[in-house]
Parts: sequence; structure tokens; C-alpha cells
Amino acid sequence: MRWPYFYPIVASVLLAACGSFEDNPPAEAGELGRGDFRYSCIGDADPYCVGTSPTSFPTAFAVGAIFGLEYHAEDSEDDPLPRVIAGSNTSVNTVGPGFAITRPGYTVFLAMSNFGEVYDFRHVYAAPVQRIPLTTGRSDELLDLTLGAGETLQLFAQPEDGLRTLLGGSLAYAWSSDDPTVARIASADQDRDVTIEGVQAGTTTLRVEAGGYVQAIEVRVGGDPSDADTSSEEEGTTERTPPGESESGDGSGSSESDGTVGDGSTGEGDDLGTTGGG
Amino acid sequence: MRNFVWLSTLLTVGSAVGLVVGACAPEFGTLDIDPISTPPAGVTLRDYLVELPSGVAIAVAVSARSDNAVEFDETASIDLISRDDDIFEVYPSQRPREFVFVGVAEGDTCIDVLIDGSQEDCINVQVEPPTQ
Repeated sequence: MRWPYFYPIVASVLLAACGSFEDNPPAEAGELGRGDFRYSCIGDADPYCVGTSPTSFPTAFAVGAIFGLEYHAEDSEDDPLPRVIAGSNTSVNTVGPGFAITRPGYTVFLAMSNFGEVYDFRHVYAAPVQRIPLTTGRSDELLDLTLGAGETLQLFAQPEDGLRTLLGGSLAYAWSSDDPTVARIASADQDRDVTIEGVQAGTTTLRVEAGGYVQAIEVRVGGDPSDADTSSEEEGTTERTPPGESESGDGSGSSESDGTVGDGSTGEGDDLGTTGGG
Repeated sequence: MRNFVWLSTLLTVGSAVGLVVGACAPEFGTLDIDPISTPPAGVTLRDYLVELPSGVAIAVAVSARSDNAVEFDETASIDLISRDDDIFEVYPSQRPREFVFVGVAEGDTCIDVLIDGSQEDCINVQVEPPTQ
């Protein structure tokens, strides 16, 4: 006779194990060694997050990006846990439950006890966005893009500093197409990822702005979906949707920020054009 | 004449007593400041000057050094108070005589040093622009 509670108990153990993984967000030890600072996702445009679950503790943060930090003490009897504050309110804005660093450089976050004492602290580094490579999620950076008419492609923006370090935190993104009659933004929501759709044969420029920086990439649309080709630094797999299966957006073609991103100028940087708005 | 001798004796004894009593109490000389954390950017800690960039913190242990032969005992309380919290903050740590210095914004100020509640010194503080 089989014990009737065997499978429920096994299932409970497995669920508990899974739950424990979810309950352990990426963390970095405090510099006084009394606990750790845990990263949390705020907003839905953080490259270090999948949904609301952080994947790792960012090496650096984008200036102006929103993120969350919590502190967990190893042996604190404080209840609630020590609260996290910014060491300098001239360099950090409190945005709801999160923080946004307002200038490049190091910024310290303090874990404060209920008695006004510093329990622990940690420095984080913030940098301005200086590159926004575009990828399809699985590919490396796209250098240009070719689509067929009616074809859609999902693109992801990866905000980086000048050393190509992926920057953490949620930024506001604005995407635009110089000529929506050639290729348009098909996504209703503008976020770190967007769906672009080839409309008719021609060439246009796709731009994405975040953190005061504008990245541009040339988009060529052929008359036939079989014309589609995308080159990247290292050839990767792209996810394409053939005509008729495209994600329907608002149908308005160009984005709300068409032509008004950043400082409005286009430099001659990598790829087609890049502009640092500072 | 007898009065003069008596007065001299009194003054001599009084001076001796004063010297003995004075010598029994430590006289504040300097504040030793030792780092107990490693900041990511350069920080200067001297008994007369603290320099650190804005946005950077350092944990320190402090001890008062006496100018005479009598040292401060461990029961003497040491308080550090920033004259300008908008430039520089001093937070107590969880351990006695340990503090956390935080550069808040670029500028100059000083840290008042209080020993057993008595103000003894003000150490110059320079908060520099943030390091990048």
C-alpha cells in the first residue's frame, strides 16, 4: 500500500524550493559585512529584470534610471529591517519605492537602524548612457536591419556606458521611425523592447532615445519578406513574424516622439548615427 | 612677616594641589581617525582634515589622544557632529566610537569633536566633486 501523502509532500518540497529561489533576489554584501543589499525591479524597462524578477545585481546603473534596493541584516533584531536611504540627496532622487541616481559617479546607500545608526552601506556606480545597442533578444548588436514589407521584428534596447557595461534600472524609452511609410513602430507601448514592421520598400532610420542618448539604425524594407536580412556583429538567430501574423499596434505609424528625441541632432557615431544628449 | 610666610606657604601648597589635580585629568590633544572600510575613491583622514568625494562614505573608528600624560579612558564619550549636514554627514555606527562619514555635496565644513559633552575641536572637512 502506497503512503497517500508521498506525492503531496514531494510537491510541497519542490514548490518550497522554487519559492526559495524566487525569494532570493540578487544581492551584494554590505561594506561593513553585516548583511546584504538586494536588488529589486521597479518599472518594466530594466535590462537586469525579467518582468519584476531581477536577474543579477547591476555592475553599474544608468543615470536617471529607477531601481529598488532593500537591505537584509544577518543578525539584526530590528523589526522592520533596516531601511535603505541615499547617502546624498543631491545625487539621488527618491521615486516612489525606488531610487534614481541623478549624476555619474559613486553614490552610497545606507542601511539605517531604527535608532538612526548606520547598520551597513554600499556604494553603487552610475554612468550616463553612451550606447544603446539594439538586438533581437538572441542576436548580438544589430548594425543595420532589413525587413520585408509586412514583416515584423521585435527589437530590444540595451543601454550601455562607454565601456560597454550594461546599465541597470528602468529608463524611459522613445522609439521613432524617420519615415513610417517605410517602417513603423508597431507596438502600442514604447518600452525597452518594441516591434517594428516593414510597410513598403524603401530605406529609413529607426531611432531610440533613453537617458538623453539617441541611437539610430538604418532600416531597409524590401518589397518581399524574403528580402529580409539583418546583420549583426556576430550573426545570431532573429525572431521574425511573417506578414499576417504581426503584432498589431496602434496603427499610427510613427511614434509620439518622432523627430523630437534628445537634443534633436544626429551625430556620426557608431552605426548610422548616435547622439549624446548628456 | 608672619603673614607673608603664611601666604607663601598657602600659594605653594595650592599650586602643588592644582598641578596634581590638573595632571590627573587628560587634556584633549587630537582625535585619531582610523578607517574601517575601503571606499571606492580616495579619502584623506587626518586629525586636522577629512577629504572625501561627494557620494562616498567611509566607516571610521576614533579615539581621543591626550596632550598630557593622562590618557582618556574608554568611558569617555566621543561625539562627532557635522556643522553642515548639507555638505557632510556623520552618522553613529552600531559600535561605540565608530562613525560613518558621508560626503553629501561639494563644499567645506568641519566636524565638532565633543568629549564627554565638551566641545574640544572642529576638524576641517572638504567634500570634493563626485569621482567618475
